[in-house]
Amino acid sequence: MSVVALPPAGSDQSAPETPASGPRRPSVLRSLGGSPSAIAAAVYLVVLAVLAVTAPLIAPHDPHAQDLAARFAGVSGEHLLGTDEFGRDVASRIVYAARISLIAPLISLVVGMALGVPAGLLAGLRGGVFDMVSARISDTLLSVPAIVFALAVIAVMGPSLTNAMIAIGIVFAPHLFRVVRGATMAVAGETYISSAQAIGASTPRILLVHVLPNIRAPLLVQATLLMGFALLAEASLSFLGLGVQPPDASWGSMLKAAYENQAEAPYSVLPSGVAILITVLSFNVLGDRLRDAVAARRSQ
Amino acid sequence: MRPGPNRCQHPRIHPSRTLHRTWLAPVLGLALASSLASCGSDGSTAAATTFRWGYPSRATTLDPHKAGQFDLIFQMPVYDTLIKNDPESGAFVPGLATEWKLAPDGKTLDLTLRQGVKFQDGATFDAEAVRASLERGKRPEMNAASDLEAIDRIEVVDPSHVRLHLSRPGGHLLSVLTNEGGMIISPKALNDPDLAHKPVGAGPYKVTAYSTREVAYETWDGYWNRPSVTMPRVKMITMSDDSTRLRALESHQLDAAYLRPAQTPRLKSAGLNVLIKPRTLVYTVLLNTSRPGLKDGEVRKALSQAIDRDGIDKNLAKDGCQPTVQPFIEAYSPHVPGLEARPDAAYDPARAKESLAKAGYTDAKPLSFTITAPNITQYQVLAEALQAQFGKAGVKTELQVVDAAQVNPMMRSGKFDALVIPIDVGRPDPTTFVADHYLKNGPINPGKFHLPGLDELVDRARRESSPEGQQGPMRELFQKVFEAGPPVIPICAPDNVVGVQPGVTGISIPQMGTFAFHGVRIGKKG
Amino acid sequence: MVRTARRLATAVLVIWLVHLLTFLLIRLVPGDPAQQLAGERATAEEVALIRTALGLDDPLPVQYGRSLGALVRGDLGQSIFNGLPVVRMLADAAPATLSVALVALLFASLFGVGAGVVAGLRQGGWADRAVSTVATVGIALPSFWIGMVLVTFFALVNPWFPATGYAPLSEGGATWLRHLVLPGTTLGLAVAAEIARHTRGGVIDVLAKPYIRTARARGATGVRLVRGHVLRNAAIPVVTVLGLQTGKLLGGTVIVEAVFGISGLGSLAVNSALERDYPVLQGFVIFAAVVVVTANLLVDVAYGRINPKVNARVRSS
Repeated sequence: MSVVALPPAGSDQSAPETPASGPRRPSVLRSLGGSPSAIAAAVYLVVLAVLAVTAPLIAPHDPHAQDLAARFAGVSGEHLLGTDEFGRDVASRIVYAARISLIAPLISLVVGMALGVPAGLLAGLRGGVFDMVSARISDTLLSVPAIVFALAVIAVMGPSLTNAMIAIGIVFAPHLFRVVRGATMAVAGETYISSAQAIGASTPRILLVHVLPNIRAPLLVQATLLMGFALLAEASLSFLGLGVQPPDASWGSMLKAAYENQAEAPYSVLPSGVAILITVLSFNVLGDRLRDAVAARRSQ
Repeated sequence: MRPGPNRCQHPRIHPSRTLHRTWLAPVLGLALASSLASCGSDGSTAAATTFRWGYPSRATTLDPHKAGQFDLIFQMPVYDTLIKNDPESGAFVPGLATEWKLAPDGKTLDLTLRQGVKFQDGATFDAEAVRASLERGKRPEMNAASDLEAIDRIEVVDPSHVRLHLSRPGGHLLSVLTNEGGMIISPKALNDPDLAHKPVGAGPYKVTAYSTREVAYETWDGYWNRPSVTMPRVKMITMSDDSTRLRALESHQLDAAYLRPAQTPRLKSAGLNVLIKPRTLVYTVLLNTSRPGLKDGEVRKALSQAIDRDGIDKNLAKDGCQPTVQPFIEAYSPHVPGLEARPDAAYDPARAKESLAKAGYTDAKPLSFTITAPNITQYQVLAEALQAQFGKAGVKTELQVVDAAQVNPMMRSGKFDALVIPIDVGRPDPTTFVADHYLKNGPINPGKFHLPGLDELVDRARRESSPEGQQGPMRELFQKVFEAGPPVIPICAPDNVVGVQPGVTGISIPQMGTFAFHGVRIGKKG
Repeated sequence: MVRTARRLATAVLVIWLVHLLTFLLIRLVPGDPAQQLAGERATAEEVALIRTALGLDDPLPVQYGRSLGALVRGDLGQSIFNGLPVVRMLADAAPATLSVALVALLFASLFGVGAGVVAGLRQGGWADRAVSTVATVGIALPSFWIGMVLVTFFALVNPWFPATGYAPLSEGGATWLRHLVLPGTTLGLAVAAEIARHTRGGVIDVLAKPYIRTARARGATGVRLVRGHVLRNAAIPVVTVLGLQTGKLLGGTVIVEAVFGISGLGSLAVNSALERDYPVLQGFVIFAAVVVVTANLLVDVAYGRINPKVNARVRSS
């Protein structure tokens, strides 16, 4: 995959910029090669995704199997990370919980993309009234804190992780909208776009063939950063008891339970807490380095 | 009021001018932190005349007649009851009524009223006020109506005498009159639409601030028994999270708090005083017998056998929740001796699975329902444990967590499958628990569970007002219900654990009814 | 003047759109909104009660007109749960929340700018690396975990600050502030990290500017240089970030209030969400939007004050 032209990156920068057109340059992903932290983050995330997908094969125990007599057992060969308040194997639960902890932010991301990307493309390409209206809608959504909006949606639809993550995705949309809009505007003035329009190419075709490839990189940056944010949002909602419902668990709900039992088992907050920390850190580091890479290429 | 309010003053920082010296920020921040920290840790100094109580559930309403199960504690300071319970012995003692007499057939109850008592709005307390208040409580839309149901007619004999004419034997009414049903609302306020948050009673305190998270009270000087009130102000603060309550207590944000048994060791190590006492409170699973499967008594018995009560007591509650398969533990007279020893009372998931198979529920076609728990830590934990234990017997369940305030309407409307809740089975009276849950028209009997002969047993018990007199029929009744598969499955009777700051005296866990704080004193720390 | 008027108009437009959003959110959900709020297990009477309370029987435009009219009068309706006016409930809960947010903002500005300047001036040095590491981790930590750690060390192990609760200002400024230190720090940490990153970037940019090089060459060092040139220029990205972070702060109080057992807007919102008490949440969403929009207006005004053009004056003096 190689990106020819790179529009500006960054969440809130929409200044149009002339895309570079010239000899092919190494792709953004490849240019990460220089950053060991980004590579470590990427590898970690891939391994995590594999773990989550293959949880039933990997988890040493049934994540829901309770053994009240063995509650808060310490670390042992039998229980690699000890047990929780119901005597369930923490290691197995961490692996299973990775599924929800990754799928939940994905829901938000997909919703945010579904709303933000098409709107951003159209606004960037067409401008005019559509641009103005969608920019105001975007301002509106940006003025509502994500968690607060999620609470409002929960009040209407009832507590459910999916509903909450959809709500967070809606509040995400403006961030993606702005990036896409800015990037689209940057390429919209290019001659090849006007010539494509001149020979009668349809708008969807222009967007798909000419514009979308050019905004992939900034979109990737934004998506990566938002994954980290959404994972934290999921943890927060689970902490409030409004996220995933037992016996299913996410790292957030595990951390919440450990927190409740802090007096009895002070170290039980570590596995889930560290899992959240490292994963969010990985998304953030990867996003930052990607952004740096995009910026570096732009200034080339 | 506050001793030494200026002790903790510290240099002011002007945020508007910080732009020029932001690089000083860390230094300033540290200085600020240490100057604040040096104020010391006794956050309680500011509140020595206010008793701050931490409680898991919140005041859904301050209207006694509309109260849910856990609102009583918030109403007691404002409303005096006709009869009271001695907090230690549980015996009936005079309240707004000085004397009472139940006729031998149990069908009339004569009350002699205290004279010279005023309500907080200046209205006079008399027989007419009692009649008006009781009649309001009897209205069908009131939650108190079921407790007062036996009252047929209220006769005002003279300003200080009331005679209650009963349709059925009313031995339980004495207990009812120590609870919400016996709280007398000022006649001037009876129809006030704001009664839910502006209560007017004849009790020791007036409400100064009400929100759903906190209720503040201040002594009312016109109280008839003013000398008994030692605590000028009371603040009841709702914290549904157990660990938050514990931390609040540890850091002196509360003077006392209601906690859970598993927290006892931590309380003791933190140097707090601990009061522990079992009461008539029982953790239960309330089943809706109108639901498929749950209407079958054998299924309900199987569910009871699937519960690992010892495991819950030993591990989840740290030996603080006495396992029981019947509503009353040994300490109380309706307890049926020997019931726990029966083989069909024992924890036996295999046996439970067998019974379920006989009833038509197999792994291929499992019994499934939703377990609902209020959003209070300990019930959620209990629900999660039950889900796994029912699972061992092949029962599939979903968990649903609802706001604690929704539980009472849910119970009454029957919009649930199974509710994990605590029930105070002795309040107001053992027979009212039975009438609410086991009699055909009971308000919390959505599946119309009933057994022949139960009504007669309740009437027999209610001809007596003493526990000894009620014992025979009550034991017979609980035995019958157990054999039929109870719609309310008891799990265990928790120790009531109250953590108290050193130096705070005058709190006791009441045998009956709810906590009263008017006699609390906050002294020097030990 | 015209610019300010246009800004104000945009702000009003956004508030109006937020109101429209919350109005439609409940009404455009598939199915009967009253049934939705009451929950699937509610009785017919409960549903009818809610329908009456929200006036859902009227045609949509009538409902909208009524709702908008009420908004203009500053009326946000009544709680379904206890019938209290939403404005009153918000007003009761707001002081605690705003106090926490204020302390958090103060903390975030002080530490964020301080750390950012130090890191920027010593780019690549150990201080820079330390600040960057702490900032990166600070952003990736769930705030409730931070709160828990702070409580453990600064309230329970060392009983310096209260672990829970809020004390109104009427109980004395010191008492008020002591209750706010831990929740404010918890809430402010992520924002501080964000500000530190931006300040650092701003400082590095400014230091690379020719006039600073000249000033340095002329021998301007340390405090003078920082005060005279760097801070003023680096303030712009910081103020922008502050504006953007207001929403995050308000959202964050929801979590922080739960950790510290504070009865503010956040705990009101969580309880109302569980109770399906939509009017309260609608009120909270609108309130949050008003705060965020106002903050951004203030940021705009602040821009005028710290605009680089002002530098000409500074340099000539």
